[in-house]
Amino acid sequence: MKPFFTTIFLIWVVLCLFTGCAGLPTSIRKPFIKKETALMEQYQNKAMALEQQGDLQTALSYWQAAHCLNPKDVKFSNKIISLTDTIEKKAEEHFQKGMVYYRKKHFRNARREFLTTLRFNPNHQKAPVYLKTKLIRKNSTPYTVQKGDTLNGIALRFYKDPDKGLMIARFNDIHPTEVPVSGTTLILPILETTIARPAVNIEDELSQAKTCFKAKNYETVLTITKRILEYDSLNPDAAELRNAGYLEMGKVLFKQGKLLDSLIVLKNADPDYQGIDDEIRKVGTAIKIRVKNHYRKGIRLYLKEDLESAVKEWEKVLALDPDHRDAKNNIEKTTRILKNIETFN
Amino acid sequence: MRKVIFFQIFLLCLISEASYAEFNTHLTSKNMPGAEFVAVKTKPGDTLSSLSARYLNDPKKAWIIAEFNDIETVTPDRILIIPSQLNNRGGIFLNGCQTVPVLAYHQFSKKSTSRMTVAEATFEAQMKYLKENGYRSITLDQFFDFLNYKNPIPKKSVLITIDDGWKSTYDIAVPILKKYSFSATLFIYSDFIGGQKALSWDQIRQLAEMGFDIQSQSKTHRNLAEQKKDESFNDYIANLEKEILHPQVLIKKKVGRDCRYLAYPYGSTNSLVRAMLKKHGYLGAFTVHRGSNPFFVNNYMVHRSTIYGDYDIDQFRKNLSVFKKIDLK
Ligand SMILES: [Zn+2]
Repeated sequence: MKPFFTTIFLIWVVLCLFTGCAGLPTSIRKPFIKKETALMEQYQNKAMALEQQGDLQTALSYWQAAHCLNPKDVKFSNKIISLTDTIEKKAEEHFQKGMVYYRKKHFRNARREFLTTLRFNPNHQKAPVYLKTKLIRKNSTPYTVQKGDTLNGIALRFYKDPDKGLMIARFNDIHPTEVPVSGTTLILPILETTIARPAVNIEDELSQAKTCFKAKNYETVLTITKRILEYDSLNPDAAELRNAGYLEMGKVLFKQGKLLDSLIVLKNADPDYQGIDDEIRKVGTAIKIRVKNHYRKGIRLYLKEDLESAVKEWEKVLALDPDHRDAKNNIEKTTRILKNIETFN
Repeated sequence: MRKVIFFQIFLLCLISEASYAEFNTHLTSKNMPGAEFVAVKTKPGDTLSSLSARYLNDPKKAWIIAEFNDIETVTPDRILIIPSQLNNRGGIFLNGCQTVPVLAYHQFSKKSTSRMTVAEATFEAQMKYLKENGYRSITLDQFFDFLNYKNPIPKKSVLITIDDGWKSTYDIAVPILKKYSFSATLFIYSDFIGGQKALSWDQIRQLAEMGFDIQSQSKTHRNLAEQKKDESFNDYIANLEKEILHPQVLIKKKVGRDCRYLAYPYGSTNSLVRAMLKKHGYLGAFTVHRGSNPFFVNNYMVHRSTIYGDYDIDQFRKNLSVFKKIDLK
């Protein structure tokens, strides 16, 4: 039995090696074929749906995918050839429409037509050139030098200003006194009506801020420097003035006893600005002392059975230090007692 | 007998592999217009990048396989179609065009203190959002290949840019970008570099080696579109040329890379500045005009959206549009 099976098996193996897939039992190739056929149908359906929507280029790519799964199917290769033909024709139609708009200077419509051209045929030669160069604002114009031209003469003609000859020289790397060679091409930059002047005049604003600083009007210093820094985020003078403004304003508020306000203002400055650290520490210590005093005063009042005043003191503690646990607890307890007294009465 | 059966199964495996390889080769459709397509049966261990490296000669083109087959990862034992290229390099469809958001950052800190400073946790959340929502950060070269209608890019592409050259770029932004394997472009203004709060040239070199693009934001960060009060027109042009040339020379000298792109300080530009950029070999420049870019945007007026320090994730999301509706029927 054994040798018989082995011989049959070996003959079969040899057969397989010579004939490739055909020698294999169909059940082994089937899963692949099944998958392929399913995929091919999927692509075919997708392609047909896209064609119906008018998206011919994407449809083409799915026909190509289907074709690549079964290259022997003439149906696919024929479809690809005819669709490619249609696509090229449609693309050219849209390109010509675009050209009509372009000549009439209807640039928006021209752009839309050129884009549609590329939607049909991404390999259209001229549409990208129009989209990327002709429909984009120019920054300069080429000029062919005529006999007898001088730089200042050209400048007078183009810019109504002979002094712009220097600019032409610089742009074209020629000496300002040189006579341009006739027949050569010069690049003439287009000048917008006027070169913009600063929207924020930094120097004026800075000197104004400095005056205000001397007058101890710190609030205005902060407003002006903020405006400058929004415009020029790296202006060192404005940054310096702003930090100094915060520091001085913090000191003033501290002297007025507005400790929390002072702390908030100081924390707005750059943490590494000279003097800020010390001032913040000073205010912090003062706050701690004040907290302690209010807390103790509350206890004293409590012991004197002036419960309402005691709660008021502890509320002052919480205003300065919202996380003060003892003050919180005391307020809770005391309010409860106060309520009980009320109901008692 | 059992041994024989095992042997038989083993041989069958060998044969089916061999026959599939042969089967693959005649699946390639040749001489068809545009892209060529290959059908591939995936094996265990195949990834999008490994397939892309094998069939498209570039692991970075993995997204082409992903987008054509509408998959995010490769599962073994399925058939994938690999197009040699995507023809639609402008991302043009019936209802509109692909656009690319360009994000502009400046300074970073542990906690945000101003609009121009983005807090570490905020930046991390933004990058995480991009990753989780399928955005891919592209390089400057990829971006301009798209703008110049040369090569297509992934549908959800985004270009990340960081201005000025603050030290916090290196300390805070770079580790987060690396974590999400994003790249970015740095627009440095050369007078700032080496200062106390700025990057050093050594750090910039390191970043360039890590794949970050190093480009220019002028020499002194002056507004290039404005002639100063005490400046004659000819001085203005001379100074403009310095602003544009100096960082190019310095970046070449210190980093060994070509500087071909510029971000306008304050986003301000005029036609003279743009003509000057072109003269000196700049191939494109960025404004701070908010909005995403279709391929047909002016290369010297690329839109960029500044991401402010006080943005929440919703405000951030509004700057990530990757499609512009236009009726192209
Ligand atoms: Zn900047």
